[in-house]
Amino acid sequence: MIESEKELLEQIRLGNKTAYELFYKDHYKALHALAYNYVKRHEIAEEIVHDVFITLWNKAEGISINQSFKSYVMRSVVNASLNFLKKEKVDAGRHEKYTEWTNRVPESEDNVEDKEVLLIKLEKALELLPPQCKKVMLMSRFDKMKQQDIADQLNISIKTVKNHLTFGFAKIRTILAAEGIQFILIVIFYFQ
Amino acid sequence: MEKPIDYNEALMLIIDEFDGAISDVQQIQLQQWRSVSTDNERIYKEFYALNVEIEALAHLKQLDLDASWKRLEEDLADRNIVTFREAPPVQKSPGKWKQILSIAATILAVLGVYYYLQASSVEIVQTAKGGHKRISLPDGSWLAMNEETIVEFNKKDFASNRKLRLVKGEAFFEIKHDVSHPFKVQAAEATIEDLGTSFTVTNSEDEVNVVVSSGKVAFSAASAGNPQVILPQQIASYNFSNKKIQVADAALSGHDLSWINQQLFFNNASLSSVIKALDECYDVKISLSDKSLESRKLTANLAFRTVDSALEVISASMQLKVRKNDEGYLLSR
Repeated sequence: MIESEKELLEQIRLGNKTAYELFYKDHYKALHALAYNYVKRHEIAEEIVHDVFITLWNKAEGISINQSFKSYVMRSVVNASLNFLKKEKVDAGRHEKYTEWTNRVPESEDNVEDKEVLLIKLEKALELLPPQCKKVMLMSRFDKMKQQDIADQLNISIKTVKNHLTFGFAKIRTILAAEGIQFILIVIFYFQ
Repeated sequence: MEKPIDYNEALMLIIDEFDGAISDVQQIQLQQWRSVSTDNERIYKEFYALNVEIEALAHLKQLDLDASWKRLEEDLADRNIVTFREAPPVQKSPGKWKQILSIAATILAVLGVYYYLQASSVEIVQTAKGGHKRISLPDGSWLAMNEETIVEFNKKDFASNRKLRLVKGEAFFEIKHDVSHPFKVQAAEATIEDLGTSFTVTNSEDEVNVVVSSGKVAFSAASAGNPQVILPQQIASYNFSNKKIQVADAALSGHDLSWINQQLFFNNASLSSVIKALDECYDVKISLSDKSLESRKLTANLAFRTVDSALEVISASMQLKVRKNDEGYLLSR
């Protein structure tokens, strides 16, 4: 563990909430996104991250960490997410299928840390889209507007909206691929 | 069999499927397209993953971190001593006293005073979006903070232990060189050690950058081997994912440092707004001898390192007198 992380862990052991808050706010988004990849629901993702932070806080005394502290937390979030899915599968009797996106090993430390990088690059890739395409993408993906509503508001045909979305997705995929970004390791499909 | 679809139609149907705008017939067409080749299936999955990512990004963009932290904080057990350790101005810890019983309170109060003396000298300074600040350090060095930046340092033994943590954001440093007490800036896993100098450090979410304006710095990161010496007009970047330090020509990197001087440019601004900006930037109190001065207009570039030199320019161009008093500065006719 690096020096600043040792200090941080020491502060957590002492019960320094300010230090914990800074750490939380620095990493919450990436952790949330990580959990979301598995559980696909934002409330559940927050709950999972919170559970990890509560456990960490309560058990800080007894924790010994050899790897990076951040990776440790990320790993915990992945494990908690998988546990949640297992439990949910038992509860609801759903079937899921795990699909690996890349040949890399899911447990490797780099992979989980890539999450933050990915989101930042994704945001930058969105910025690189042609203006009208970007506008349609944002309305559709960020504001969750229906294709028809976007067409009405921008006074374009629904076909054009579809074209913008298709182009936007394909373009972002190309930009990210050129940056060496690989998609998330595991995607879980639900089939009824 | 439905009619086969081509690549572009397939992509469109994939998105229609995400948006719930796909018909049963199209659903079958898409299913058939996916089963034609493993490449098609791979493209489908990549689009699926990308859609999940974009959705996550959309949610995170609108996320309220403070509210999320509040929800978590309620579930965190208090471990008492801390209450005393927090740097006073930044955060509050309401209502914690109530839970401490009287005997415990006595013991903790003693401990608390001890820790307070030890730790209250930790200074945390932050800037909001669009905000800038300049701070003088106890050793005579100073730094300019860009917007959305947090730095943390220990005021008490700063002169003997010159260490500052750039928690996030960007800051320009001008360091009083002192060989026996090296000045160190810690940014994530990277450490920047001054070898007599002024430089800018950026701690973003994927890398730490250092641009040297004068002198030189030693740049190191635990996992990146020996420290590297960075010279003026060079930019060094430590990347969190590949854990390597790379050095390049700062002029070619496009790294924008204009903010360091830009924030104090006034164009026909009222003296009251100028003073407000100076107050915020240098963290001093400047007052005017009478209200009629407030509306006087000033056009000037006040990108100065000390508040004194900035006030000198104002006083000269507006024929005002500057007096230093207990509270700060007073400008009068």
